[in-house]
Amino acid sequence: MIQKPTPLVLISTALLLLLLSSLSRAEQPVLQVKGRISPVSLTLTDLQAMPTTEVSTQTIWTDRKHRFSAVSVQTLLNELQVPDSAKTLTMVALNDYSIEVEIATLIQHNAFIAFAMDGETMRIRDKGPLWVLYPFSDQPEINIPPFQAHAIWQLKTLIIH
Amino acid sequence: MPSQKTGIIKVILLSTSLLILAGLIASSVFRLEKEIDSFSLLTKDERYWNSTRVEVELLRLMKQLSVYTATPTPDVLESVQLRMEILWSRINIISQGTTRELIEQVDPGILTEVEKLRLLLLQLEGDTRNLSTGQAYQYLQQMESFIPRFMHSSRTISSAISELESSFALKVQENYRWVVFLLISIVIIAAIFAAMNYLELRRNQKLAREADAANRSKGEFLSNMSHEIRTPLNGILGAVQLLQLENDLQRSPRTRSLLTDITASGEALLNLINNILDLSRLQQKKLQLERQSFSLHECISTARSVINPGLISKNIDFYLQTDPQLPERVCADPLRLQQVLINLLGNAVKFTPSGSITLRIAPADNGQQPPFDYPMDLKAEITDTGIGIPAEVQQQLFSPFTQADSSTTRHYGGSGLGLSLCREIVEAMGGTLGVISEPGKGSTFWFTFTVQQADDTLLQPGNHLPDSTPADLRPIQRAAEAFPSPEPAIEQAPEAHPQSSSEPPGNDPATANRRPPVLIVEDNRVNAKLAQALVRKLGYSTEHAANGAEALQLCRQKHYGLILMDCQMPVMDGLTCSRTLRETPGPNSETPVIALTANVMSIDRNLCLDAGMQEFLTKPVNTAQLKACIDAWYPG
Repeated sequence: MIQKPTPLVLISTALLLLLLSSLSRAEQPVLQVKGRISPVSLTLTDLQAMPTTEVSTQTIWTDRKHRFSAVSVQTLLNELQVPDSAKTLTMVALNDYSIEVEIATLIQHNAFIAFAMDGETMRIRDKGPLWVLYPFSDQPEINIPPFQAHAIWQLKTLIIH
Repeated sequence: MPSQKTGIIKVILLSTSLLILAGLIASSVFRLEKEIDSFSLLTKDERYWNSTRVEVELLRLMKQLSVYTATPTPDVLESVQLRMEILWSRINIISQGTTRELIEQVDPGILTEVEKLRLLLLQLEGDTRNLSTGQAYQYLQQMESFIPRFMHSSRTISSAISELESSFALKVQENYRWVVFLLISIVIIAAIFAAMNYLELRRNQKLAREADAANRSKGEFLSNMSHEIRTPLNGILGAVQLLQLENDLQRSPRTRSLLTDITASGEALLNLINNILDLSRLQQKKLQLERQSFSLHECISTARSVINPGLISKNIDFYLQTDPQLPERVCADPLRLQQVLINLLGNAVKFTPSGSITLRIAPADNGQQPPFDYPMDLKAEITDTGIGIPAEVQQQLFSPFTQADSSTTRHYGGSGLGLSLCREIVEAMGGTLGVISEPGKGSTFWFTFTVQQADDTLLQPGNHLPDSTPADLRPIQRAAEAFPSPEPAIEQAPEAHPQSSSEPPGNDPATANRRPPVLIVEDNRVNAKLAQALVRKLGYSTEHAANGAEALQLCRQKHYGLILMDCQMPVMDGLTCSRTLRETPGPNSETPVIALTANVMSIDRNLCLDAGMQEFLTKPVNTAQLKACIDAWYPG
């Protein structure tokens, strides 16, 4: 006999659907990479699947030290098989702010693309979902405006030159 | 004293003013740094940019809302949400951290507006799930009213920042001017002090030059006077020697003792003058030490022979202790070493009424002997059992014209020049002179001097000086038999022309007439007479020339056996004369020439030898010296 679904089952199904829908939304791409390679769009999951790193650092935009989960720029470029001849990187934010930085500088000072702060993904209003940073606490000598300008938040696009 | 005080005050003034100026510079540099810090705090991390972003992002959200009112699709709604999020992030940025600080300083009212906008966004967030076009329009209207306020704020902040920049530039400029002013002050102060020091140095140099000149003229006066006094004194002593040759006078004991007294006093006076000459030369640094190889034991025995008469008359024992490690021949200035020894031994004899005098000579460092040809420090000690010297006068003992006390001068005589002369000589030889003494018990004068070992033979005490080993210490050499004929003040190095023991060949008057005569060239009549008498007494015939020119004329005519030549003469001096004699062929171009002069400086001796003379005798000449010299040089 076929039983009518109970309200409990209905609610569970609804919640499951909601969860699935939210999951499918999380799978929207967060980062576009183009330029010297064929364009790719990466989701947060794609990034998390790469070799990640944990960096604790203070920034001039935060009140205290935070632990960032991130993919280093070096790793990202390796994963995407960016040729060594690539010299610079233009980083574009959601508000269309952009800056062009030498790849060598980013790699030399261990720049990373953070996707979570203290274990939590970051909302756009909290400078997420992706935030480019240097380990400033480990290298106080680069905690100066020319390097701080490289720390672009709400990262949307990388253009490799 | 006052100049020392002002010197200290100057140093204190200089250092404090420099310290104050340095402190002011440091503080102003520090202030400048703080200004730069605060300036960069207000201008770094793109605060101005951040503070104006709210306005821009608000306009972009309003644009999306306006699109939504026309086409309310989910895609557009998503864009609205994105714009809202970005605006939200901008609001977050300016309402916290350093950007908030800037805004609070410049335009605090805007923060209230920001809070109102945040509340509106919260409301919009709640409505975005199903936003109606009507609601969107309402939001659009409400947001519109914020725009002029944010525009105004952006302008206020930007002008505040430019104002800050210009005032900062002014402050920096002011600061730099102040620092430059301070630096110039430091340079000026340093220049003033340098100028003051330079002037003082010039003044001191001038004073030193004047003092030096005064000292030099005093020294020159002394040596000139001494020289001038020596000439008549030579005459007196010569005359006395002539008188002593008269047999009539020798027979009367009264006149003989008077003549002896005159000779003794004259020699004492001559000694004093010699000391003055030496001292002034030493003080003018004109005295040049010679370096020649000589026998240490001969030097010691000559010095001892000089004091021998004193030892005998006072019945004082004399001990000599020489270290077995002492070399036999050494390189140094034998005459000067002898002079010091004679002076110190003479003092010991003078101030010792009875007892003994010990002369000890040993290497200064009682260690290993330095290898052959290396400099070696020797130490001589003269110990007596005399009256001693009180401690308080020991220090000034070596300054000129000082004796233990003025009564000493009355009791013992002497000028007190001897010890200062000794000290000058010892110091010129690179050594030191000192004294250890206790009143009533005796004194020990010691001095060190540097010699070079001339060969590797050691001084064998038994070889030359009987009975004088350190282990076997016995009184010796008091006895006149050791030195039967003590001859005081022998200034010539004895080894140069060993005294011949045989009688001069011309002692027989019969043979004298057949031998070529001795020519005496001397302008002073008394001295000429004396020399002639002495030479005749030695058995030679003589002739006399009053100056060099006259002598040359005589020399062209006949051959002489020997020429005694005075150095300073009118018309032609002795040096020119003998040089001409040697350069022009004639009967006397090979005749030995002996200089006779009152100039006793070593440089004079060298001048004479350079001019072609063979020997050098200082006036007053005594019979023994003259005899030795003629014996050595007269041909045959």
